[in-house]
Amino acid sequence: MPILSFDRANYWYGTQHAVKNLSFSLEQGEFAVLIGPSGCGKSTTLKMVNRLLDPAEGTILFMDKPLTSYNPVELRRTMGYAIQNVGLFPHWSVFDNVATVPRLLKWSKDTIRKRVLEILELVGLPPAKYQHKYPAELSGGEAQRVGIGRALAADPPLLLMDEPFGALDPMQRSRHQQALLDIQSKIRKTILMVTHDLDEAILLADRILIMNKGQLVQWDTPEAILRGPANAFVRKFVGTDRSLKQLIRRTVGERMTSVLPIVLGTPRIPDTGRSWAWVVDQEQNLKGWLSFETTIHDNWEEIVSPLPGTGEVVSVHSSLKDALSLMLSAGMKVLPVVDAAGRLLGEISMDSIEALIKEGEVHEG
Amino acid sequence: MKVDRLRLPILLALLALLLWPPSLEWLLRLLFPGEAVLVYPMERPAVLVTEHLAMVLTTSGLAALAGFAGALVAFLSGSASLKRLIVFSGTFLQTVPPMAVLALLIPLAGFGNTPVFWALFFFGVLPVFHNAYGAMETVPEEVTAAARGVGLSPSQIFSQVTLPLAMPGILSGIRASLIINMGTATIGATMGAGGLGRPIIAGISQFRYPYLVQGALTAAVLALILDSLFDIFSPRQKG
Repeated sequence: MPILSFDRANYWYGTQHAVKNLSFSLEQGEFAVLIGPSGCGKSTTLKMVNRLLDPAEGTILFMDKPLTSYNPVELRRTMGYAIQNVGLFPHWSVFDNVATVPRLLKWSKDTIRKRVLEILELVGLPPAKYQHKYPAELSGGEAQRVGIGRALAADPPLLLMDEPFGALDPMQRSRHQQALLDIQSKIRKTILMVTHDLDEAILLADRILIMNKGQLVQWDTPEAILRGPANAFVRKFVGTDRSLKQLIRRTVGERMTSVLPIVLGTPRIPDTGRSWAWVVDQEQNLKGWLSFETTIHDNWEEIVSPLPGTGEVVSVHSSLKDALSLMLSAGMKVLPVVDAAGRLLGEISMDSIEALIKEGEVHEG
Repeated sequence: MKVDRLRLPILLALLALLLWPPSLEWLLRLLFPGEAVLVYPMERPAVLVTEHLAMVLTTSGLAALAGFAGALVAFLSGSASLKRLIVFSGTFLQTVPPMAVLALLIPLAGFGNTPVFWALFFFGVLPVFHNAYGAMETVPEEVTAAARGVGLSPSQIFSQVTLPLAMPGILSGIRASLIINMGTATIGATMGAGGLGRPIIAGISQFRYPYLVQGALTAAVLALILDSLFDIFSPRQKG
């Protein structure tokens, strides 16, 4: 049973037909992303969901009842809402900001307190450190997390997000996208998010809804859209690097291969069938690599080559796209895969990523 | 920080010195050793201060209410042309000099307290109106948008978000209005009103500088005391 469904919804700004006969529905627990060029009607669509705007024609059902049967103010309290500039209340502490909707819903003090602390933990802001801070004391990323916490506080069945990461720099953005995925894996909310960042949509969405000039153009999983764009507009919109974009959703873990490293202090060269090997210490911590063309002698530390920089490692959760761009920028054809503590788990090679891209192209047919 | 905490006690001590005739005389003798008559003789200093404060506090109090009400109407009306008109009248009227307003009011209200009352009210309204309206208008749009989106009703948005965020601006308008009126009220004596303007006008017309200093110094100390009280009682912006 869909939680939200649009049935031929239309909206006009004056004479401009902003949303045309839009029909789609969201399933429980689905992360849907609305995307399209600016002016395509995606933000208007989102605003119709919490009745900041009402469609001129057509109906929208939320939990099997028409939206018009809900009081707009009460409706908004049952939907989480996070926006680009966050809009935290600057005169309220982090605690009070997160407590906004539970207080509007007149929860008891104890319930609110328990819930706010739980939410702060969930969004990765330790309550002891953050609950008494004011928005002016937070970084952009922390404020964004509080904004998402405020949206989630009353445990809404539907979460609306309007370009929530739009104001963050690219580094922060990818960190927060990953954090949102982690949160979503724990809470499994139905989410409707608007973005103009295709990579973000591909990474986060279960299904992407592409709009153009007020109309729905394609409504499908990221993989399906990348493999089979519905028309020339989508083909142009997703770009010529479609096969590369598929790598956004694939993780290093899927393509990692195991390795036989040289262990420091046990001078035995493993038979890897190639002219070099990774070097680890007794605790499996990655130390560098060793070329067998070097004269081998007992003083290992001197002959181990360190990695060219400091960050030429990936984790099993890294996307294959990130791994590939790291390979290209570092000039390495193989990258070591390490865990959070720096222990070597395996390696990922450019060849295996290329093979995956070729598979994708075959699928396109 | 330390000087800040001492400011009000020092000002209050100075005021006490200016209120008690023997100490006032001693103070004025320090400044004018050659003068025979030092303290303004027509009225006790405490009465002058009471008249002055009564005049300033009533006019500024009413002005604060009227200015805030005007700002509220302008802000809530949402009509762009009405807003422009109110804002324009605010900026335009504020440039009229106080003496001109007093002079213009005399044919209408006669001499005495009435024209001065209206003039002070008029000058007190403008800074309150302006600051309050400006403070409400500059509450960030994304904050009120977020408030609406998470489910605050329009009246809750106004009372819990717009008003508290505008409060520092509203208070600074009231503070400016009080301080301006404290000084402008001394001009009132030229129109026959009471207060600290009386020794000042007498001092000017009779070349008795001690009177002038008594009135001006007392008015200045009162203004500084009110200003310090505002510092103590106005809420600090957090963060």
